[in-house]
Amino acid sequence: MTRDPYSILGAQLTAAAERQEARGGLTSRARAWRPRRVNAPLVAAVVVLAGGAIAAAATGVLTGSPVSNPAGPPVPQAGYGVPEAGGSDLLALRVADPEGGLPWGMRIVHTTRGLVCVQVGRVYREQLGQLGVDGVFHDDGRFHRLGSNVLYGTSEAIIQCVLPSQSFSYEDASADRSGDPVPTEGVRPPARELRSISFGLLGSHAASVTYRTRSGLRTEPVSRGTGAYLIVEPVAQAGRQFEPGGAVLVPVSQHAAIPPALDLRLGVEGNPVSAITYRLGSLTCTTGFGAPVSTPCPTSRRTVPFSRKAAHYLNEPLHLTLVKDTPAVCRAAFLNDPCYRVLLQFKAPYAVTNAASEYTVEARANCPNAPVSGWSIERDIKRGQTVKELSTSSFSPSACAATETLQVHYQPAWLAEPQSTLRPSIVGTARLGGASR
Amino acid sequence: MSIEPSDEELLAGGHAEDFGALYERTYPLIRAYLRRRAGARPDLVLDLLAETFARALERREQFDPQRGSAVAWLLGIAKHLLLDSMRRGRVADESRRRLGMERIQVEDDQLELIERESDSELQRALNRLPGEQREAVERRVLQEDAYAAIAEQVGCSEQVVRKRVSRGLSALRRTSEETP
Repeated sequence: MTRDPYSILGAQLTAAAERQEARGGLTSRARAWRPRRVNAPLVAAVVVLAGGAIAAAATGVLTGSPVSNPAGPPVPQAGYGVPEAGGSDLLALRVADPEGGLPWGMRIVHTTRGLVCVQVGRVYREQLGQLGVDGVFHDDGRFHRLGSNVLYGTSEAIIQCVLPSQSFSYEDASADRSGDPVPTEGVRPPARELRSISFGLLGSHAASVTYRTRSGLRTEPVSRGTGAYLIVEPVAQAGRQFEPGGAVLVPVSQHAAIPPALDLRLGVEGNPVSAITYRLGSLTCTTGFGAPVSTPCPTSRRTVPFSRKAAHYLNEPLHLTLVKDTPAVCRAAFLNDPCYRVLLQFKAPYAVTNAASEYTVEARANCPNAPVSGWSIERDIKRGQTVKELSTSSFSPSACAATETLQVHYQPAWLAEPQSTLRPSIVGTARLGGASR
Repeated sequence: MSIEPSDEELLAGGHAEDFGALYERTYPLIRAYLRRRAGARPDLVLDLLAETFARALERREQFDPQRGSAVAWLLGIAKHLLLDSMRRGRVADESRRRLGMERIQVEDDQLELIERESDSELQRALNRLPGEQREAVERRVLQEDAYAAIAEQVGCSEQVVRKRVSRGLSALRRTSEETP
């Protein structure tokens, strides 16, 4: 008799908790809140400078080094790509900070990998950036420009990237006054430093957003053409239950009479947006509650955009070669020396021409309790091209990794093209034990 | 007479069996929430539920009972994972990978059968709640209506709605513990 899967899950969780207990610690690898070092001699100057930057007018603000891209220089054909020539637009939208000073703004960046990215920050002299306050940039009180190419692999800026075919509403991206996102773990800064940032692109039919403030509901028009909105609110309590928030992304309806189904999260605690008003031809209507217009918009059938198409097996050959790691790398990975990474090679059956589709690699061992790992190959690939990919983690052939199976998957661009007939594929499978050295 | 530990005490306990007990107590509610949000995809619901509890296990030291209940914390994780899965087009599995948890393979029809039985149990438990508590739990937890909206439509204060939700959840938990 087959066991109830929920009982199996309970047993799995208890076993995982036992392993965790045996190790005497947690396994989370998430970034901890970085301690905010206070340089005592700077404090007085910072108070003056930061005060000047935050509470005073925008004139006389000193500028500092630009916000760097921790992932290194971006590449046109990988990750999120780079901004297209002429593809960056700092919107005219300006939102006052609760303490005054430099306003907040947002920029839309179209990238070479087909993404539309939105950056949010403080604005000084028509440039987007961050302030050196609240522990950022050593509290130097200066304005630091945020380049339109700081997109990928950074947790140092408020960024959301979507496909052009999607609308989105990002709720509660908590930041501090600098414009730097606040990590969701570790010590929380005091409430007065925190800002609740909500922003989104609601599409060309959107007319206004209604959102909650401390003093009640407020309605603001959105940017024409893009439906861009930005809400900056103080955070009442630093200690409130904190979740990093999330974006609702939905395909923009091809049917001009139906707005995007963004009402899924409207009015939910943590999301200040309670309603969106649309103009659909002669009809002005809203989704959500509390908007001045009480006519509800027509709705399309809400579907979760998951591909229902079954994956098909292509059985393409995968070639694996073991590449020896240094003893230091092995030690850092808690593996015995020698340990190896795997150079994986396969011929791409489909092209990847933008960020909407990708190949992924899944590594799975057959031995009990072995972790499953995997990674995405986030770059453009030509059809028929021989892909060479070095594994991101190391393996020890003396451990159960000898039985490890690597599988390459292809995920088509069904998010960008929901009507696509392309099915997800399992390109091929290979065992690590059969790899050459 | 033994005193049952609260959800919050189980989460903060740090012992493996505590976490297992917390899962048994709370998963029907988290699953019901995910079902409402993720639609009729039992495999997807199971995937999201598994990652929700795996993430909670990894991060349980970060739970602060001063900031809210354990159920609210779990629902927050589930909500975030659901939104993230909609964005990425697949359910995250990083926590399960790190914890060495295998994906549970199960046929859809078998899962649907179990879901139907479990949903009936949950519905029976909900039906046993006083009407105002049932409405508060259904609207707040399962439909995710805002406290303010519920309060406005029911004609009471937000604080009263919060109390009804809290009491309703406690009653549901007691019911699930009594069910063999």
